Order: sequence, then structure tokens, then C-alpha cells
Amino acid sequence: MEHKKIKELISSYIDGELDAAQRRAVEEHLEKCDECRREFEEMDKFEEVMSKMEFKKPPKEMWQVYCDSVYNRLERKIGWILLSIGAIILFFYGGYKLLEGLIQNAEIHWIFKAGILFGIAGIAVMLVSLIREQIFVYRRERYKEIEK
Amino acid sequence: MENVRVLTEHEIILAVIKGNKEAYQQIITTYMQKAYYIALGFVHNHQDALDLSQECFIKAYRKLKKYDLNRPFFPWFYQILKNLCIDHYKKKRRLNEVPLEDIKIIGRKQEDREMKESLWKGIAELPIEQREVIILRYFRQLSYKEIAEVTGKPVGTVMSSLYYAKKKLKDILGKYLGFEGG
Repeated sequence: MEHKKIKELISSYIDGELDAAQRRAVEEHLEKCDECRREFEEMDKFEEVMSKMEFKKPPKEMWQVYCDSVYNRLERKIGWILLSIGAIILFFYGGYKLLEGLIQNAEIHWIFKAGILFGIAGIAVMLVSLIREQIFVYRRERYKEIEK
Repeated sequence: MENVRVLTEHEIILAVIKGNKEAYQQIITTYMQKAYYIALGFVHNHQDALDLSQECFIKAYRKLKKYDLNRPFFPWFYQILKNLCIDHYKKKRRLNEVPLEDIKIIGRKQEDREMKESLWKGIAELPIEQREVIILRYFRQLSYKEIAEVTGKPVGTVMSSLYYAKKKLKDILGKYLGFEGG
């Protein structure tokens, strides 16, 4: 078996992931190949360090409140959605009323009214564009591709 | 004596889908540590890992109706977690943040900090398919078969990714362990 393949198998050999035939092939090769034996020794030292690497354990209390935190965050998200819907309704209703009052007011010059209308139309176009972009991003979201 | 039957994961998820929000607690309890440590492997920071793992449970809860009940839960959950972590990590990398306060090497002295930093940065710079096998192998102690199940890749691909990842990391560690690597 060629060196490259054996070197690849050495990694799995150390991990104890080879079947009997593969193990035997690696062992036989190591007996007669200095280069691969050196690779084995280096990989073995590497494994020794890697197997001792670990994350610091977080405080136990973290696990006790973990579940509650998820539920709280879930509720907060629902809260934010409701709040946002409410704010949007109020915003549009307020805007509509403001516009209605403005148009019906004969004392205000038509140039000022036109300015306000163009401004509002601009904001509306930008909002529609933003919403369309968000919908587009959502449809292409990676998570949707990997759900199953 | 009352005969209490333990619900299977399939039954629990079905209960959650039918509106039993409390049942989801069992799913969280089962996978919270696994999710946290995998996230920590990706993002290298306790607070971010905690946030992302919790965010993943929220996201999974919302998408549960679209989940295929005939498939195991964790690989599906893992894909959501991995994508959350990758997105988060890309943002952090733009800010040049590679924290490493939450990792240690047992038995190694303080002066090995440089080695730890090099190794950690080496892991961070691996392509994602290599980084994930390193995380699952060394921080979750999964077998090749288990890694293949979680990532949805063939065992041969896992073996190969792991080899190339180890080779790169071994080269990085070479000067600290007394060999040149290569």
C-alpha cells in the first residue's frame, strides 16, 4: 500500500477505527518503513496532547437555569413580535390620520402638502423594498435547506 | 405501583408539535450540554456558546413542524446549530476576535500557553468540514460512525477530513512537541 494511504490510515489506527485487515496492513507497513513509523510517532504525540484538551466546565448552576432561559427567551421573542406588530399598526394609523388632517387643512400651502406626500411616498417605497428583500433572504435561508 | 413508561424522543417531539410546550424541556435537557460544547468548539467563547446553543433550541422549536419525524433529531438540530455558529463566527472574525479563555490542556503548564494559542488558532483556521470533525472527535469524543451520522457524511469522508485536519494541526504543534512536522 502506498505511503499516502498508509499515513491516512495511521490517523484512524491510533483512533482505533480500523478493521482487523487494515490494522494488519498498517502494522506490517510500519515494520519496514521508517518514514511512516516517524509519522506514526508524531501522530501519537499529537494525539496525546489533543486527548488532554478540554473545555473549562461552566458552573453547575448554568445547567439548572438553562431550560428556563430558553423558555424566557422564547417568550421574549413572542413579546417582541407582538410589540412590533402593535407599533407598526399605530405607526400607520398615526401616519394616515396625520396625512388626512394635512390634506384637509386649507390653510396649508399646496407646495408643503406636495412635499410631505412625496416624502411619505419615498418612505413607503423604501419600506416595500426592505420587506421584499427580507422575504427574499428568508426564502433563500440556509436553514430551510437542511431541515430534513 | 404505578407503571410509568418513559416516552421516546419521537413521542416527545410529536407531543411538542401538538402543542405541549413543556415536553420540549426534555429535549433541551437531553441535548443542552452537547449543544453548548459544540457551540463552544465553534465560537471559542463561553457566553457566545451559551447564547447560540439556546438560540438553536428556540429556532429548532419554531421549525419543529417541518422536521421529518422519521429521522433522528440530533443531526437535524446539529445542522441548525452549526449554521448559527458559522454565521456568528464570521462576524467575530471580521472583528479579529479569537478568544481562547475557555479551553485548557490537562497536565500542561502555564508556559504551554503559546502552544495552546497556536493550536486554537489552527483549529479556527481549518475549513469548516475539517473543523467540525475535530470538534466532534476531540470535544465530544464521538466515534467516526457517530460523526458521520451527525454530519450526514460517509464514514470515509469523515476519516479523510479528520486526517487532513490532524495533519495541519500536527504541523502547527510540531515545534512544541519536538518534531518539525510536514
